[in-house]
Amino acid sequence: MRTVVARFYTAETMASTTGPTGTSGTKDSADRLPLIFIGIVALEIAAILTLYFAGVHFAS
Amino acid sequence: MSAIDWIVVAAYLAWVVIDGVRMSKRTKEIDGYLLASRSLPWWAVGLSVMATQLSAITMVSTTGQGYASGMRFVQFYFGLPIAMIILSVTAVPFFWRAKVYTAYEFLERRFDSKTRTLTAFLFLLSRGLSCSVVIAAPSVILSIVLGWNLTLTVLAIGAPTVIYTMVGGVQAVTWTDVKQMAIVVIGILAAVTVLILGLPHDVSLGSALHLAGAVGKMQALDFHFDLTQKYTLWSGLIGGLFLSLSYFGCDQSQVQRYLTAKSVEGGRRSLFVSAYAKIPLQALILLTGVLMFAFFLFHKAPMLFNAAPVDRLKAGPRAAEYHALEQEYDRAYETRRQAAESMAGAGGESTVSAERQAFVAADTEVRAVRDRAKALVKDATKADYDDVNYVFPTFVTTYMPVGLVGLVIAAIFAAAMSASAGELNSLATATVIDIYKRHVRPVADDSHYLLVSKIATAAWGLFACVGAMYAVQLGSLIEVVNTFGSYFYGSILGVFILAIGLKRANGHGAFVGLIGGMIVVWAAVTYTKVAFLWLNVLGAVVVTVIGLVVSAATGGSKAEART
Repeated sequence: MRTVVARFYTAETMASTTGPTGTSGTKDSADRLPLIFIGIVALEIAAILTLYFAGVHFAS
Repeated sequence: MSAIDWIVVAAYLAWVVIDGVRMSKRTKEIDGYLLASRSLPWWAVGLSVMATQLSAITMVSTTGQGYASGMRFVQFYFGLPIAMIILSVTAVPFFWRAKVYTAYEFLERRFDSKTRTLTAFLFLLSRGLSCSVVIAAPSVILSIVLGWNLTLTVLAIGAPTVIYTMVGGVQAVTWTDVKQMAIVVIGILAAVTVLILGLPHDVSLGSALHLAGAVGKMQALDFHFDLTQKYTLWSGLIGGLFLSLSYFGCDQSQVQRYLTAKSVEGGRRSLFVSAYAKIPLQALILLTGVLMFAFFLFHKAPMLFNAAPVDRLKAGPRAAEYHALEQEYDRAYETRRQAAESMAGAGGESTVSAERQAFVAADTEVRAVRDRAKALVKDATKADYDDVNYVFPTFVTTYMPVGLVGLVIAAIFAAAMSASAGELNSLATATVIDIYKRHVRPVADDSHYLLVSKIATAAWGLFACVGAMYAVQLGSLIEVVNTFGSYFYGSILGVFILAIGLKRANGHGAFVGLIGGMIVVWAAVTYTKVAFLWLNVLGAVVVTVIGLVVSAATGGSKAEART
């Protein structure tokens, strides 16, 4: 996950040379993002599973 | 509606305008008017992002879909959280640090003027028409269900929205969105409470959901990979991902929301609000529709919910045919009610019980009679007929207690107003920044652009209201607008993929790619039966490929030369 985020930041830096200026993400925010992403994906999987099992339960 | 309900709706409309105008005190400069001087807290921006997306069509139509088809539509949103993750590390920092007013402004810095102008023009065209539809759809439903004058209903939604958006700018839009979002959620929860309390004493919530589940309404997931199916797990995850990337990452009505955040981090967090809350909220709205199905098993619903065409039919020569169907419906409904009571009494949990089989058969019979009635109305009135959007308003006005009717009607108004306010604000911004300032008057002081922004907001508001009145007369126009939007949503995403992710791309590649993408999507719509969510994937891929090829053929980009 860290590698993926690092790649995005590389892309962001690339764009800053083509228009936008400024610093890329701080180390703190970069550190926190993978955890937030994992949380979002985990919640989405939980939501999908909940909907699936609710469908199975109430159809039975 | 009772006097108390009228007072609730009137108080809401007055409060929205007064609160919006109050916000205008902080918007004397163009940066404050269009971007709130980048000062808004992430949670307010996040709720505004959600409110802009949640229109009255969502509230009225999605509950209707839950009633008719169950939870399946929730799959449409499965790609959204993943899109938010991607946008939080791509679009948000790019746009925020570029200090742009519009997403399309960024395209000129990256590519050229023609690419910026074309994408801005496509946005203005699609969002302008969409704004009319956002106002028209609830207006026509409310005017029929409540017996209101259609023009007055359009104006009741449109006029307050235009006033607070024009006077207060993006700050008024955002803070009003926050309150409107709260009203929408409270309205839905009130409806859910009334639905649950309205079930017979011996029918628990679990039994009601088992009844809905017996006829497939609790089945949310469809695992089939079929490009022609509208809502499957895969179209939701993949097609929905591309649609969300395009809507939240390239559409000014959303980009402008997170450009108002205090920082990049604030912009990211605002998107995470939708990532966490969107699927549960949509599931709740759909569940409201499923609960309406369970409710109407024990409380007799009209055979058809959209009464206006039915009244015309009853006044014509085929009234006797409809009357005969009504008698048939009464018998089928009573059989289903008894079967539902038997199944609920038996616990409703056995897949092979006689009670369950009887209930499923009785429900099939009710649906068959309804289908025949719909076909009769279609044939007699020579017009399309669908009553899905009328189920929720009918329930609200017929079964909700005094006061709460006004609250839910206010919530429908709030949903329509929050969506159209965000659109009007972004339409004015793109008009002023991408067209007026870029092509008409590049140099002027802030007060001039502020005045033009307010005039543009009023003009787009007028366009939306007049367009809404035409849209309601030409029912199929709504479908045309939605299809029209899907022609270039994915294609515009392709342009931004070239801009942000591929440094080899140049302006010629992006421009030719955009046109090529729209042509391919048009061909796919015309000659295949591919479901619309997949068109977003197709458009984005085609634009990216054509863009790279044309860029390579025309000498690459300045960006590549600089690295």
